[in-house]
Amino acid sequence: MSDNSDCLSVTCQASPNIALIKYWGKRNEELILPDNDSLSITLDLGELHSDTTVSTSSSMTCDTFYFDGIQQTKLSKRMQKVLDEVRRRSKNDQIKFVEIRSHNTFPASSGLASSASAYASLAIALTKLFNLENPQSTAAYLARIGSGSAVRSVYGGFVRWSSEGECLSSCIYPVEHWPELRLIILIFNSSKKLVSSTDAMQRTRETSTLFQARLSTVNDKIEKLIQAIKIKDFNTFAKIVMMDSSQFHAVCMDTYPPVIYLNEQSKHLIDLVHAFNKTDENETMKVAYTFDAGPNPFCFIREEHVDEFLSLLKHFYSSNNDNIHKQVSNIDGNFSSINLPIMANALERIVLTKIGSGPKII
Amino acid sequence: MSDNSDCLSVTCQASPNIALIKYWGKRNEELILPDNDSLSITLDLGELHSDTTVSTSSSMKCDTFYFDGIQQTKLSKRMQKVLDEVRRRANNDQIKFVEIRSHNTFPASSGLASSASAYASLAIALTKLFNLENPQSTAAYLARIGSGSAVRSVYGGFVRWSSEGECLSSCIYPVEHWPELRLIILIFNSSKKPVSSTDAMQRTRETSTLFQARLSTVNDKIEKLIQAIKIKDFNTFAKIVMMDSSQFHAVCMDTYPPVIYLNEQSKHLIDLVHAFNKTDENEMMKVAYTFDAGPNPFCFIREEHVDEFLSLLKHFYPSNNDNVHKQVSNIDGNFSSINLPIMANALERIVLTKIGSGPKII
Repeated sequence: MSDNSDCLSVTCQASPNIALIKYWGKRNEELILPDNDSLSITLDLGELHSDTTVSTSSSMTCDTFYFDGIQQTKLSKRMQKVLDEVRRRSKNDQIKFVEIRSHNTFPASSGLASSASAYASLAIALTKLFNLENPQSTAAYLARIGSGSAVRSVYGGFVRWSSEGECLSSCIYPVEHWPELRLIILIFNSSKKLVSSTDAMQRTRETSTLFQARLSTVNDKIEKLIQAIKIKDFNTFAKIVMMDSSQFHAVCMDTYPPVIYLNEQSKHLIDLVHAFNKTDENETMKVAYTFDAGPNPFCFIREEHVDEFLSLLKHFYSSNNDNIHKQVSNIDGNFSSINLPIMANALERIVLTKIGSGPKII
Repeated sequence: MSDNSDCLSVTCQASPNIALIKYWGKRNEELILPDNDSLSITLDLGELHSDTTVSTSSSMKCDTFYFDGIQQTKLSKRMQKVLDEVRRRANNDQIKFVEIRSHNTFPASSGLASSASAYASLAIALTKLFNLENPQSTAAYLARIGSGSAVRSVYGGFVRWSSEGECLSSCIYPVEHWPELRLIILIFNSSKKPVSSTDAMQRTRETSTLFQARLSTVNDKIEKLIQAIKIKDFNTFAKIVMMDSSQFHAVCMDTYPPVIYLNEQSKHLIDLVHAFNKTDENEMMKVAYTFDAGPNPFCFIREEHVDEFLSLLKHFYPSNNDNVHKQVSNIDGNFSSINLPIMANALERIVLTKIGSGPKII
């Protein structure tokens, strides 16, 4: 931080969000206006958050960006765009330069995209630092032009990003609404090849013959999902979430050339969840999965089933590393009815988390 | 074969076919009427064929079926259905029992489904044995009710299976039409878990939100593909075939629960083909892939590019087993521009083949 008497500084922490109904396709690239509404759960700050500190002082002569303490040679185009918009709105007589320091508590290899939490924390911090008007919608706007789905991370709980009108986000149900809901993130040891979502989603739009059909299903799906969340109907919630995940990956497959994010381990987990859900005699769903633009599953589950599911994971993803399954109580489930192979040492890490209350200025 | 003076016997050889536009979904289960037209290439009898001998004599007391020389405990439901239809059409005063002996020259693990070639050879042999009327359409009908896409294997060359009217097949262009066209089948060493297509395609019909959109694209696609075949426009042929393959796998992914046939090796080959096609300075396509209900790719290529492609395969799929790449001349291609990993020992076998002239009675 610059050493100066007029130095102002704001630090914001924000978490990633997990999409229940995916965003995939922009109808406007410049402003990042999505083709369809999307719905997500913002994670608890807990272990997974991006921390961004923005500072300004009259002694700064240019914008600087530090990631994990290391100064980056330049700001990305998107970050520049955010700053330009901040300055446009702040109407200062003189340009105020900023120093941005950002850090993620979760590594890039964790399978969690950090751009949503990073840009959400940046947007909120800048909004506060520059004392911009209508701070909530301004921060949402800045997050959106920075990184699309970051707009959903500016709120906690269940968040909807609208594809119409101002195309901003809103909290549909707060974190307190469904306290029993938990998230379990499985991080496989797959090769971590990064594929640019921006390019891929554009190619889907241009080449997929099934894309329009997907768009036509979204609004109805969202309304049904919101209803299921409202009454805490996990069965319906699970089915809609899993089906949207599959449909998203389907239009990616239907892209030319094909975009394939799932791998063997993803497929195994899919089969495992379906088999596990079937073991319930009342056919009550216990677990739902969703996959973003990568092979790692995000699982939704209610607290009462967590131990059983962790035992299942310990059984099917046995590991030499004791740390991975350290949270398993010694429940031995009867998994003999599940006819799937054991994938030894496939899992690198399990993250247990829950819905979060949204970003914090600290 | 029964030892009897009135014993009649017919032997037919038929090959598998590779779908260019896939059949996936039945609008009538009983008669196996498909939801959409499909188009395929019948393979050369060469190394890959099913041989079925059907015999009848008055001393037979029941139907018997021998597979690879071993008597099976009973006939499958589909086989029984075929025989029932044969008898219905034969109008014999007395029931004539049959002995069926069938053998495939390619193993079940070769990635090639044998039911098409097996039922085509059975249908043709039975039609001849019982001297049924309208032998061509009768054999097609019998093949169809036996195993759907077997209807396409009763002809050689480029074959279309209609989803309207009688729902039979016809040869669109004969084997002589495009003599430079070759097929290269890659058999990976993946685990060979068979998944029932019949169940999976029914689930797609019932649960996929994108299935109807696929159906609505098929007729136009087929017309364009037939036109491309007519004028031997490989670029257009390649693009349509690859896109239909992807769209088929997309609706499988969009099924609940998801049906995923492709694996890492499939994905690698997809990336490899796209990268290889890009190396051509005129952006001429050299190779096209298609995948059926399994992870092994069927590649289409013109004779002039075969050596170069085999070199590419040798480079990216090196093997300790010298047999795998035995057909490679020593052309060293320049593959340094292709930024993909090498998958050592992933390939079990490469089959080079071509379009075939159709079944043979021998």
